[in-house]
Amino acid sequence: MTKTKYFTSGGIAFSEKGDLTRLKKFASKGWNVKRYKGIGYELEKGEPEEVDFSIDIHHLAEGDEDEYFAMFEYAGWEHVCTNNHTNTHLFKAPVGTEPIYSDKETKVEKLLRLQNSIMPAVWITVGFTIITYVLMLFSGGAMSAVFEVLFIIFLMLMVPCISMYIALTYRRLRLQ
Amino acid sequence: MKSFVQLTDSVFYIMAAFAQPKHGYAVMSEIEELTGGEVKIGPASLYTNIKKLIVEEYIVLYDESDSRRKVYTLTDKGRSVLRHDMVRRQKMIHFAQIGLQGEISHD
Repeated sequence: MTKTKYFTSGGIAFSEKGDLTRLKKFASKGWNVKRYKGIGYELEKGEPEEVDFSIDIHHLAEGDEDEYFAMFEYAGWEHVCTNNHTNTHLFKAPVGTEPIYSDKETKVEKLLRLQNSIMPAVWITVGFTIITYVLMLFSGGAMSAVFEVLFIIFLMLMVPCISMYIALTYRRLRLQ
Repeated sequence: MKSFVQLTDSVFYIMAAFAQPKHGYAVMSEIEELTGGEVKIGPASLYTNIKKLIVEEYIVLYDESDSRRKVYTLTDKGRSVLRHDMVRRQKMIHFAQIGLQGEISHD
């Protein structure tokens, strides 16, 4: 039976580099990432590998996968796994392989794609936080208590969404 | 004219490579070769730019019989945008050449 290990992602918006560094360290000890699992990665015990990792974000239309992965392969980047919910693709290559992004503009666009994908969650949580807050203020008695609970729930959901948004904006501005 | 915005260096190289029908990674190797290894286009940057160039109608799918090696080529619109940017870059170089010649004559 293969020995496996799981590690939780720090969240690609916040610690993309951190995740990739940890995957690299694990690989050098023979723990090779095999797939995305839950909110992290599943590693399997095997041969140590000296590799760099990269993450790309692209929604691949049907029929585009072959071409997309072939381009990476040609450049020396082997496809490891894909998360179909978030359209994130993980690649690995021997240490020193040229980076998958060679210019600032397309790097910025990658962060923008990630940011756009979380915008619905940002707007929904912000909207419901405001609505439940207003309802809490203007309703009386038991209803007020219900809206207070809902308000707290939405507030708690809103905080990580807003943090992701801020983190991505910051990373984008640093690039530009 | 909105379509005649300045092209980035990467896009300029990629469009120049697509002047003849070519598949994605032929573009990568040709750019690397013709610039003596000075310019390398990463696969993620190339893919992003190809998708953008299609949307802008600067390139068009020419042959998709091999799904791993789709062939694209410049459209007429793409050609005129590339030519326009080429002239802009020629003017830049010309300007620098005049400046440097002036410097020499002052010595």
